[in-house]
Amino acid sequence: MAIVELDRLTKRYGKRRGIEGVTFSIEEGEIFGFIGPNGAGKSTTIRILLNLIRPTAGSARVFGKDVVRHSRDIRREIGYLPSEVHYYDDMKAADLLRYSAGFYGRPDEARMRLLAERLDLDLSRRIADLSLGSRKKVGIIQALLHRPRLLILDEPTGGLDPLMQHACFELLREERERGATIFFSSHILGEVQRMCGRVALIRDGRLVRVESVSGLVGSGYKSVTLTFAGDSRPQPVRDGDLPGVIRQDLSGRVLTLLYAGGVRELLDYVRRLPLADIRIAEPSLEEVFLHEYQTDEGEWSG
Amino acid sequence: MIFRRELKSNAKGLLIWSLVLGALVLLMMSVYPSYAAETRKAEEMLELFPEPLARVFGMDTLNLGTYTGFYGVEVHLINTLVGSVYAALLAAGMLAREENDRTAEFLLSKPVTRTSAAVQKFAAVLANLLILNAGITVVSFACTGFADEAVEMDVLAWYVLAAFLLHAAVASVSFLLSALMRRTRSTVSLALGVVFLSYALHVIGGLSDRFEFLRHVSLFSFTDAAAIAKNGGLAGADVAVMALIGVLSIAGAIGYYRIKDIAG
Repeated sequence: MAIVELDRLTKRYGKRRGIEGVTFSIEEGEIFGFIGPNGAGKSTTIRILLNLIRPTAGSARVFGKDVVRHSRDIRREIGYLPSEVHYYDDMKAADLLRYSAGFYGRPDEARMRLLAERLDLDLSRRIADLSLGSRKKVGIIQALLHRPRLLILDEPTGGLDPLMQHACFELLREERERGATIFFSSHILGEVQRMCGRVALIRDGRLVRVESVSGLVGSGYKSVTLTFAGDSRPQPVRDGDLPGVIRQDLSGRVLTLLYAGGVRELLDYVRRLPLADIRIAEPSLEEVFLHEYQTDEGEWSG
Repeated sequence: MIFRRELKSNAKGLLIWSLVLGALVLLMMSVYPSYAAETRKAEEMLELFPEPLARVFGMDTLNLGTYTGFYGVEVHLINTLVGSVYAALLAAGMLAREENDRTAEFLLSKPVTRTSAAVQKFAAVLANLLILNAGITVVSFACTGFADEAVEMDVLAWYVLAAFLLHAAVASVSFLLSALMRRTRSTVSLALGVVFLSYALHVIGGLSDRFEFLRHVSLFSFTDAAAIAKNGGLAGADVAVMALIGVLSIAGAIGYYRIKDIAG
């Protein structure tokens, strides 16, 4: 069953760009990524799901209910982490979490302490004294605490150090095992690639595509890294020499190719080059999308 | 949830305002006994006041030699003004602050309707005003101990009731501004502007017959001490207008807040 369904969802803000006709759906139990450059419309889409802003046209349903008409019922089962976390400065971290949990019923103190321990957060500190990263941790805990059926996380790892990013994703995996559906936005493709089954790609307020991560990465593209020997002159691939080169980038002695041609032709070509090293790998999402964006005459700014 | 949280986070402010206003009332009324003892002299001194100025403060109708007369001139206006400033500050911040400080993103993602959030917040404002006015009422009645005559308790009761109604009306208008606007600073400034402009119109309206009409557009005129003393209570029409202002403001605030796009 679709947990989230967007149907030609549109938000216009006068002159400022919102989103235009976004349609996709998320199935129960998925980890679904939402990626695109800053300002592409990720937060706008997410904030409509929470009914923080109203759609101009189109509709969105969560748990099969309309997000405008049944917003409170929907929010009962959602854990939401905004991209920028702002809380009441006069509260301690524990106060904020209890206040938050109180809206869903009785606060689960044991779970609160457990989550704080996992993320290495001191609950007795005042919000005003917390660093940006620690506030983010408070935000993650308040989203998870009431065991929501759907987690909506807007840039969950922004401001966290790598160790804590890892801890955060560990927690998300456990939530998924518990049966939660996770929808998170990011402009860091690597984390989306590691975490998600499917991704939606948005740019300039429009949905570019929705695809499975394996489909995107395993789409026949190869990432080829050629390192020229020290005494040779590195040279880019000339037109016609090797069909199938989608993109190339020469920096110093290293030539990187995004390649979609045949393996035999590639080997024939590189055999003639004065190389010191060669690496052929599956391209990362980053490389594939870099390609998508550039062919769509856009710039990847994330 | 929200109601309790608002009561708690505003408790310190309420305590300070109650103490200050209570002390102010006590201080002013403590002067009354010596004043009453020399009523005659006081009446003479009043004649030194220019007549329009005396009228502004209701001295032409109120007798400074009685407790309620003295209260009406000295305390009532301070009480209504200072209380209104408190009401404006409190109510203007209620909804706008959540957006200004970006905590609305947290609060409104919880399972609570916008209507319920707004109602709980306004209820917290009313509760604070009730407590403040209860304090003022206690002090005002306790100070009757200073008087050696029989105090007109009903007039005094009307004064404190009028002050509360005015505070509530000011809070309602400020709450509407709080729902309409997003920046705490501009909301608070505008709400205070309404209070002081209203007060100024009341004063100017009292200075001369030519400006008397100004009193009709001032919130403070609904609770004019001289009028209350003369009529033996609040005029029904004045109460109705204040109630209407309050109800319309709150309805407008909730209606708009329900559909408002929360700033991200």
